[in-house]
Amino acid sequence: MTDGVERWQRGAAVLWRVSGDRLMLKEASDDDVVVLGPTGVAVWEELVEPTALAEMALRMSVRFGVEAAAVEADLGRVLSDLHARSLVRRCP
Amino acid sequence: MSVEALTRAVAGHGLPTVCAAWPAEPLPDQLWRAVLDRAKQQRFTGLLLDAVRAGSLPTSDAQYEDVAEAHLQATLRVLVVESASLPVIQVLADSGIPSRVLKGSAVAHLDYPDPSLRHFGDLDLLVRSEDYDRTVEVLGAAGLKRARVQARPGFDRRFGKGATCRAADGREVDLHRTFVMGPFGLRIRLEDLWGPPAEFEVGGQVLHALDAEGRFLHACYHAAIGDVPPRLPPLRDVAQMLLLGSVDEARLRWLMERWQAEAVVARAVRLTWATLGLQQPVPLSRWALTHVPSGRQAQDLAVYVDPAKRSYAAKSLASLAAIPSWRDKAAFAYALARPRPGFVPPPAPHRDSAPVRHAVQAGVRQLRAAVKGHMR
Repeated sequence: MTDGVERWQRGAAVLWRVSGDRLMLKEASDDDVVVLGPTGVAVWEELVEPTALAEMALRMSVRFGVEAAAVEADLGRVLSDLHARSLVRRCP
Repeated sequence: MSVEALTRAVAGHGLPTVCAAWPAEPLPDQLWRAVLDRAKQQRFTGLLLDAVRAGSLPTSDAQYEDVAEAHLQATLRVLVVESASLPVIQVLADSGIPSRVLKGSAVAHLDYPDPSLRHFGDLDLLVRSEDYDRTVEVLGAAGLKRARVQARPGFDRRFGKGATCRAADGREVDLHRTFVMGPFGLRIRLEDLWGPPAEFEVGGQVLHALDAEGRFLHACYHAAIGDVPPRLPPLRDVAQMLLLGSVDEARLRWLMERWQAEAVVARAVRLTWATLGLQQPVPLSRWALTHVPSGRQAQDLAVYVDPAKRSYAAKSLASLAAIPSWRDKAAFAYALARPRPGFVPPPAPHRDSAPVRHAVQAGVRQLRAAVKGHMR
């Protein structure tokens, strides 16, 4: 992946569980547990492999029947928040 | 349906050959509350939620919210326990002490399709006997102190099951060198537990567990002689591993003969089939149903499960026969006759929970009826 596009992936030291339609994430060295709703589960599934934000947004827009641009904007905010907690990481 | 029948149906949810009669309508709220409480006690909220989401157990919207919230809260606790276990395992690894994660986290990740179906409350770690004393020291230096005084220095390393090490903040590690105390624990060939490990990943850290046969055997010890009456989670583990896992039956039979554990495995499998209402036999369950334990194993089993015989003293007496050398027998007897000040024998792991006892007894009655029918 040397196309210069920034990709996202799950954090390296994250413990997680899916409980019903909710996702729980805990960075190993952090005391807090982050709980996300059904969209969070879908995002987490996308992050198994390094994925570009635009690709992810496109697939999720089809899945949830929402405009891709709106999904991309929301996803960008969610990923930034998760990144701040070391729950996801950026891949070059 | 009764709470007991529903609890057993939840415990068997998702297993092949289970024939559970689920209700067609949402349960009355009082019954629902009782089932949910039981699921919390048995750490089965994941199976209950899965049964609801699969449509097996219809619920009202409020009941769905109840179980979803209960499972969320329980899963949060599991994540905290699992997260806290990582530095403990790492501190042992950094000290050159190999370990194997037992039960909870290992079984959840390796034997269940989704680890959130299998909850647990603490960390169980196996270490080699020769590393045992040093492990206690290393954990102590990390703030996890042994909760009980051992009978004599070196007693646990030579004859015991292990010890609970506890931190001031309440974190606990159940440290094991074998599966159980007493004769069945002493007859386990511990070197068999230290072959190539099964690996699983938690929070980016690769952890080591027993292989599939080791995990299955440990579940059998837990189910058959861990608690009286047995708790449902180890029975579910036995069924999960045998029906959906990768247990090599030839190796399993070889190990249980070497460990003289046929009576333990037969009892665990019989209890599992009876309690969870498993309909179709597999080769090991056919064997278990007709297995007659040897006189020695029957006597040893009694000190774990017979209410009239199970006690620390009875287990200790039975242990003497399982200790091979006269020198070790003498050391064992001396330690218990002249223990260090402060030594208190551990209490029997007795969970005389009436609901679980009733569920198990009902299953055993059904099994006996089935056996009688089969023998006619």
